[in-house]
Amino acid sequence: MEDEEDNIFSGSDDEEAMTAGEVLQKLEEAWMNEALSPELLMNKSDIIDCMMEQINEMENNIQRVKTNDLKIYIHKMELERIRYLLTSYLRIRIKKIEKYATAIMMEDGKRDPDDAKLTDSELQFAREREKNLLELFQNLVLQHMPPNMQSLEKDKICSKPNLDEYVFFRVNQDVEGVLVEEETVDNREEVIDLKKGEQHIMRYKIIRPLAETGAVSLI
Amino acid sequence: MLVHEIVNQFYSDILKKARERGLIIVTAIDVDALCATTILKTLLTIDQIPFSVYPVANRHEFEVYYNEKFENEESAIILCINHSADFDVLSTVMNDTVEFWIIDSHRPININNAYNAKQVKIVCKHKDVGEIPTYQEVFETESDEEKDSNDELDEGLEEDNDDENDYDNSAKAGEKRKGSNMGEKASKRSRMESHLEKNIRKKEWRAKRDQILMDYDEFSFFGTSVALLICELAIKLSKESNEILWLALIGLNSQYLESKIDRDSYMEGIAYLKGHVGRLNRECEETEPNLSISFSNELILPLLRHWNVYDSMYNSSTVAAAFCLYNHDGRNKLNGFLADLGLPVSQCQKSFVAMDLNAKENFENEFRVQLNRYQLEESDLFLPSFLASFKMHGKFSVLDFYYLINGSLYRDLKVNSEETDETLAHSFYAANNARNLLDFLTLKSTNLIKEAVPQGIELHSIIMETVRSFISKALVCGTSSFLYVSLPQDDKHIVLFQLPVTISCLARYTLEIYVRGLPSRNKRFRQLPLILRVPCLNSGDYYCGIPPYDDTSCKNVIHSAFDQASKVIGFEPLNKLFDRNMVLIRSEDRSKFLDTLATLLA
Amino acid sequence: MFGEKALELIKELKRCGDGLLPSFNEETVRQVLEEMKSLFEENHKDVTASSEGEQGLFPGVQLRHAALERNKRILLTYLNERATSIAELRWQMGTVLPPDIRSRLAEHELSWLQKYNKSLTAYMRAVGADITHNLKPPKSLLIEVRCTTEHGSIELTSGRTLHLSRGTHHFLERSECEPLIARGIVEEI
Repeated sequence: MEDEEDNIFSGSDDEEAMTAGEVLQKLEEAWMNEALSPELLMNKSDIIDCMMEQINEMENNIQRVKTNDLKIYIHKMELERIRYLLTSYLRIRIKKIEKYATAIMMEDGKRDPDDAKLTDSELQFAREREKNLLELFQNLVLQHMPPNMQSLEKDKICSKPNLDEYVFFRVNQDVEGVLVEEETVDNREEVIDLKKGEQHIMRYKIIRPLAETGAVSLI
Repeated sequence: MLVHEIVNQFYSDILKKARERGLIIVTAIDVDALCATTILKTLLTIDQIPFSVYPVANRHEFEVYYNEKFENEESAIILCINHSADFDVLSTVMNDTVEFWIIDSHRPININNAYNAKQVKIVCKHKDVGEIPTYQEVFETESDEEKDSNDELDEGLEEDNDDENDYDNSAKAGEKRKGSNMGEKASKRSRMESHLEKNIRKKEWRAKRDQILMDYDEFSFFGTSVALLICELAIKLSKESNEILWLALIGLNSQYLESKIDRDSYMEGIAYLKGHVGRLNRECEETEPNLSISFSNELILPLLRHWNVYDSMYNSSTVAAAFCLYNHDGRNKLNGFLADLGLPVSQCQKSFVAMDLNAKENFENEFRVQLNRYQLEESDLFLPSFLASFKMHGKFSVLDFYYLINGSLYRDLKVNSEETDETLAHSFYAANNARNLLDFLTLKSTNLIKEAVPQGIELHSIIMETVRSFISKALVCGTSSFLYVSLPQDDKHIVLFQLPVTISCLARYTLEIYVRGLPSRNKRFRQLPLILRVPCLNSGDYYCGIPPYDDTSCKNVIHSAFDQASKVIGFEPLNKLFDRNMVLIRSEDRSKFLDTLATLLA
Repeated sequence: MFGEKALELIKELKRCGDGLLPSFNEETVRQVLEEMKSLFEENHKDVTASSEGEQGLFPGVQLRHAALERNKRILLTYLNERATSIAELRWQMGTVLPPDIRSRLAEHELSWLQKYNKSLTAYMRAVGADITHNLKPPKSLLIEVRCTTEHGSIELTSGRTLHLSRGTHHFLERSECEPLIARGIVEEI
């Protein structure tokens, strides 16, 4: 089985020196985080591209071997699963972009272009999305409004992710001195240390930077 | 070709070819076939083999499917469930790459199917086959043909117009070409003589062959239930489960309830399944499975567990026959019987589940005791069978499932007849019926089963009501050679009797109740077959013939009478049905048809 | 009360629940716009009067302005919510919406949907994956489906043809079934 695995996943030892298994693991993690966080996370285009390549590779390999073997069945099944992960991941991102297009683009605008959350194609999609929605507003209602009402302040009306949402997470590496503001009237602050392997439930805002670096994973 | 090795020859072959060539399962829509298809689906699902299931109601529909809808499927494997063994499947098929596998209980097996080694494979048990004539007896061998055709060319003599099958004709055409290249020089006279000699021999041979074929085809009967056959496959593959055994039991039971097999064959099947049921339903298991099966000697009263004692008995054909329940006296007699059982009226009318516990417990024992006083035997009303308990949903008898499945069929009949006439014309609504049935039979939703109960009761009551009206209105008439009854054109339930299943039910119950109610001087009617005519809603009439009451062999000769009658008067059946004891012919042919039948059956 | 009409729009959306899109309520939208127009005109009148020296009109102007803002906000919310539902429909039913649903959309919404489709397709082409497929995590490679309409023949990726007619059951690869399920031709068992 091992041999076959390597065979199907051939092309795995390229410049990134990541095995197919590692890529898959990374993808799974990215998928989980993306699915559970209220806001859009950094794009993982490197992982996605790598996985895409491997899927194509696997598909070709499977097509070459034409038997009704159980192995082929298992490989096909695995392929379907990976494909689901991939599309699901992209889908979750697209849905978030649809929802928060304006907010995300404004946020990206403040960053270094190399650190942008959106990939090029996502940015394109977000731009079109915003433009189309504004056109819709314009055509259906705005142009019929009194002159002083026709303008739109994008940043005021766009919907933004709720960063105060509570999330479950698991700690991957020790982090010390995390500042936790309690969401109560007296606004007490508390500093806690996160230990590897612990699981917590907290507001997303608090662990936001940690989620981006991978110090915690959402579960 | 006959295939007896169900695992090695049939199943593994299918597995090998199905992925690439596509597997099309064409199933008949009787209870047995649907059970078999459901089991097969389970097996194929486990092995992840893609398939498509097409339910068809009759031969005509099958041919339409074949010629119009599968025309692009040149290399497909077509698996026929419970149909087509007894007629030549290739007679209407053009291409020679498609492969037919047939699992069917209809007998006798068509001789062309049995000897086609390439395209037709029939899965069956040794004991079910009967005596198939040898190849030499029915097909002209090649060497004979060769000489024969040479003679024909040289002498320019006779042209035989025998009704030979396609196989022979095509072979002959090939031989003819070959023959033309041969320049043989021999004296004309001796050739003439030898030719005449051969001709005589050939005629003799043909006469013999026709006789053999006629003898072979004389009786139609039924082999092992297809559900049981596929269940055996599952067991051999070690993939059996309670659900699969349960479906096999329903299939087997339906054969017995439809009088397709005799009690001995039934008991043989039950004995086989009983061992496996016992193995899979050990008491000691801690968690209760979704479905458990237990053996039980069941009363043959339709849907007793879901009805009440009175109605179930009133609508049982056996009880109705014994007590003459179509008149006032009969009903009194039934009341008397119930009184003898010690059941107060209030208990008899109560639904069975709500009956007094004591009364319920004593019911069966008392029943046994009282039977003899009413000229009934225990075997008339008790049948070794099985009970299924669905987790949280109570018990169902295998026998009841037969009625429930037919009831489910009936629901769709009603719905469809309300929809449009067009759907009605869509021969037998097959697809839609079977859709629900296939869901029903997966046993996943016990709700579906429960929903079927009122429909089963309704359908069965209507059939019995129709039978009673036949008898009380004296619609059954005896001729010298058969009994005849005809459903009036304006019968309000006519839409129900457009299905082979319900037609043959109606015929069977009518015969049983009619014959047993006859005064003793009319005993000869017990030896006569019954022919039932049901007007078809589209055009024409269905005729269904069932063997005489006293004939317990479960063999039927009617189909050969039907075949011959159609030859004699030269009509083409409007629609070809799977069961050969049923035909659909044009209304205007009725009197000619019946006259011919009278002569043939005399 | 100002803004009451507008609130109706939102209530209507809410009443219809998830996944059900009511027809575009042109009439009420028009009424809201008219209300806004008259509010604006009154304000305009009062502002002109104020600038000519009249006193005590300011609170009224402010109230009306708030009402105007509220109406605008509600109208935009109405449109945004509808756009979200329409996008959701596209994910559920594919690019071709059934006529009864199409008829519930305003003309501009239809053209919006068209543009949405276009940018979605462009995105999918860019990443090289059809993300409107594989919607459910796969349990097995093949699934059993039941055909609910007389559809006729289709060609499978393997090159075989498959005849779909009502009531037939098919056990096929999931990827073949998904578009058929989306179009309502077959349903999963």
